[in-house]
Amino acid sequence: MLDFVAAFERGGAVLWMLQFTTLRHNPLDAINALIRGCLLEERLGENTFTYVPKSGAAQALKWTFHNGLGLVFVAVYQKTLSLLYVDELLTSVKNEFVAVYKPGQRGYKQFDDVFQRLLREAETRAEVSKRQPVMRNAAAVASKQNGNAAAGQAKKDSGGAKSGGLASGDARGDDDAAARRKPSASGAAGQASEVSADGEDGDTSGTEDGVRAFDVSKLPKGVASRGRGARGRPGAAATSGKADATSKKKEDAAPKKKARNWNSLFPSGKGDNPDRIDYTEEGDGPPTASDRDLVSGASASATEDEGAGPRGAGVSRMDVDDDDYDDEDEATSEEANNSAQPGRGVEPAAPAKRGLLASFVSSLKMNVVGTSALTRADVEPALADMKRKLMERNVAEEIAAQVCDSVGRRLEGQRLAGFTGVVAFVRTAFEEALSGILNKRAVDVLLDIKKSQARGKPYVIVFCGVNGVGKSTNLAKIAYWLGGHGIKVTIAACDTFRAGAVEQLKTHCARLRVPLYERGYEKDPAKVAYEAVRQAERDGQHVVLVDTAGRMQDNQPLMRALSNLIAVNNPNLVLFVGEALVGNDAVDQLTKFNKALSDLAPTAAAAAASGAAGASGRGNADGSALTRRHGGVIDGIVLTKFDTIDDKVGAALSMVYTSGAPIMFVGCGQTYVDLKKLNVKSVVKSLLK
Amino acid sequence: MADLQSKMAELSLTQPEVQVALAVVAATILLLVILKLLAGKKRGSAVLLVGPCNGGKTTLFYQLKDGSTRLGTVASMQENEGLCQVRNEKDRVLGSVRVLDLPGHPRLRSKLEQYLKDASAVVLVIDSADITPNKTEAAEDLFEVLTHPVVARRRLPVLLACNKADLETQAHSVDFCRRTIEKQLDAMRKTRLALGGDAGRAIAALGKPDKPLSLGALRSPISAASISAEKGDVVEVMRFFSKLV
Repeated sequence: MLDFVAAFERGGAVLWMLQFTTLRHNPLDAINALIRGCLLEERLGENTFTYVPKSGAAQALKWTFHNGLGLVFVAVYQKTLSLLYVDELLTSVKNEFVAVYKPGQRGYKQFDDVFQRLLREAETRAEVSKRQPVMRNAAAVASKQNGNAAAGQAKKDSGGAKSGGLASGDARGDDDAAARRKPSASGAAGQASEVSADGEDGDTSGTEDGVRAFDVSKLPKGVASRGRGARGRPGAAATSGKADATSKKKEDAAPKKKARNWNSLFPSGKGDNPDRIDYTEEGDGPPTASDRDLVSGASASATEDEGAGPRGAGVSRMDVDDDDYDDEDEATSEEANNSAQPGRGVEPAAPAKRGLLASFVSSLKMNVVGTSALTRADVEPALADMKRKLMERNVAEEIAAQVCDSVGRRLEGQRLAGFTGVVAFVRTAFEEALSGILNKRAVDVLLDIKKSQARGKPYVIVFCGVNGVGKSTNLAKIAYWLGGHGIKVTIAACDTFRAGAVEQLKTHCARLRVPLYERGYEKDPAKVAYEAVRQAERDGQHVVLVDTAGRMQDNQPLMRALSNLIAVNNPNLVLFVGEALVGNDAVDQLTKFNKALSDLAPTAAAAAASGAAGASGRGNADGSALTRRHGGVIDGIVLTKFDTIDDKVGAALSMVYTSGAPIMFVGCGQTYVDLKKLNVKSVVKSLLK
Repeated sequence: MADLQSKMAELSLTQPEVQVALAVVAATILLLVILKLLAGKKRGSAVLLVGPCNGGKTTLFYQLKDGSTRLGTVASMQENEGLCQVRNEKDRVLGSVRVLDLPGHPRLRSKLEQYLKDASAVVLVIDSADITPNKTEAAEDLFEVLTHPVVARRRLPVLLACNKADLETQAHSVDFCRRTIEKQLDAMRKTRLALGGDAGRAIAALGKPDKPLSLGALRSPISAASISAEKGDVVEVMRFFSKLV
């Protein structure tokens, strides 16, 4: 039944493997795909991974870790079979193997027999439990009613190989309990918190749901939704109360507004001193370079910014070194933290139930001597703290939960080095995990542009996103940056819907002295883009920036139109523009955009056949470095309005985690120079502050 | 003033206090020098194996460590560290070097920065059969290594190991690999310089951008060789190590 089982070290050496069936592809390929697609992507919370080999049926992989010794155990089997005993088998294999394991030895032939025995035991156990008679069923039915809602939610939440966050409303439409969970006007935010709340309070809300499901389903549909809308039920009220509490906490954390001090004779230190009340343009506001000055090259005063340093007039902030001011601050703050941590580290390790002396001794053993391994209970409080901290920083709730879960799994069974506290240890693990998520190999845009320049084809970049995130503004900023590097840019106005969109781009193009290809309003954007690319090729332009209309991720016809545009034009780079102010909706936006764009796109063969004549293929046809990421079409993210959030930088993490695409540009202001690269170190620092 | 002068006239080397003071000073200086020397030797003690995914770094690591690659390897999630015995052609043991195998996955790239600080040499392992799709990654790795301030300052030797030579017809020649990487580095150098330079990177170590890049002309001594980690043909790597010991 199983295809393949293996045990390997985290360092990469395979210690033991057993192959049951011969397949055409190398079984290690499946394991490599698992490592690259799941284990290294901090998705340890999911428990299966699907691998589709080039030849053959899809395989499912399950795994387990032994963090203390750094070993991983993987079982591979055909996805169509649903084997129930694999999890138990893996745990028992892990326990047995640890007894046999000697570091440095490779090749454990004697383990084969042990494994066969364990396999037989697990299989018989599974058979026995399947054949359990009626008494199990009665209990099952009773618990089903109670736990159905919760279990159903939990199953649907964790199922699937991808980020198993929000199951789409459609999939759940059939379920009883789901009738109340349909995406309401409050949008995904409310939904996410409801779902997680149910997942957490498993049983209690389950019983409520069981009773309530009975009541509500009897009512006609309209009344049910009205009842939900009015929030008359305590169940919903509890979850909404929770949502309110978290949002209130966020508001409290925001800096309070300082009262303006109108008494200029006695300026008090507390109030906002009104030496500058006049913010009109001619007034002496904060010296901003007007865009006209920038473009014409006149010397303009640099915009005030923290840590900006002396900059030449009109140099885009992409080209300016990001000050690593964090190094010095880090050193001092780390020392302060570390001195505080060991003191604090002893306390969270002592749960209330155990005796005081016993807990002191055990925490001493763990922190100072470093002998006993960490259990889940030990890291739980620190993890919960971290999750709360991440959510305070505007990370989407389910992303925070998944990251915490995955770090928790990685930490279980590890030993603390001497004299480190649990909290400090958890924090370092988080830093590594977050840096790993945010540190992505970004496409070197300038290099790729030069490559396609050499081929004589224009490099096409498409900007997509929801309404009002700053696509047109950031498109202009990128055009300015590219222009500064001597690259010839054309802008294609494919937003043929919004009033004034074409005029807006006309103004930008006039200032930037960049040609604009536009065909007015009410035209098919895909055709406009196609013709723009042809025109750019004739004119010998290097880059075409395509501006599209904003659209909501739920809007099917608009998403279809966008994927049509992308399919017809085969752009080299598809950038999703997202604002940093977005909260939980970031996950929904990106998932739905990715899904819609890949679902509604024709297959590669059809695209080639339909004659994408001359346009370079999406990806590997010309050997360029654009590979499909994580099953999505979006190649990069532009994070805008970054200057409006102080340290609530969580949207960056949510977006990168959901889509797997790197953040290529960060918009941090509203003038042409306000474009920069993402500074991963400072983002991680802000998240964990 | 007169007091001071008379006091100074009194001081002479025969006085015990003066001797003791001088002895203490001398001892301190000697201690500092010794410590510096010791610390200097400890720094830069490991050879790093870097390169894109699936190049064969872990296989090479185990081959060097104990000459066995019995069951194969999977993608590394964590670095491997070990000691390798350096043998010369006559199979005599010359010494041992500490070898550090870093994972190639882009997520774990940040470790490269960390470990370059105390490296004594770098081996870039690339898949010579599959070089064209991976040339950007390999060139980026090499770029990061060569422009790291420590590497540039100490002129650490770099070996470009074209692995998987046992695939004979599919594996490209050392020359081809070398030229591909050179061209990529050249292009990258122009764009990275145009970007204003990453903070703290010694891009000047790659030479002036007006001349095409040639690996032989760079400050750090770079050599290229063809090896096969799977079959155990690692003579070139051993030769490279023997220069370090």
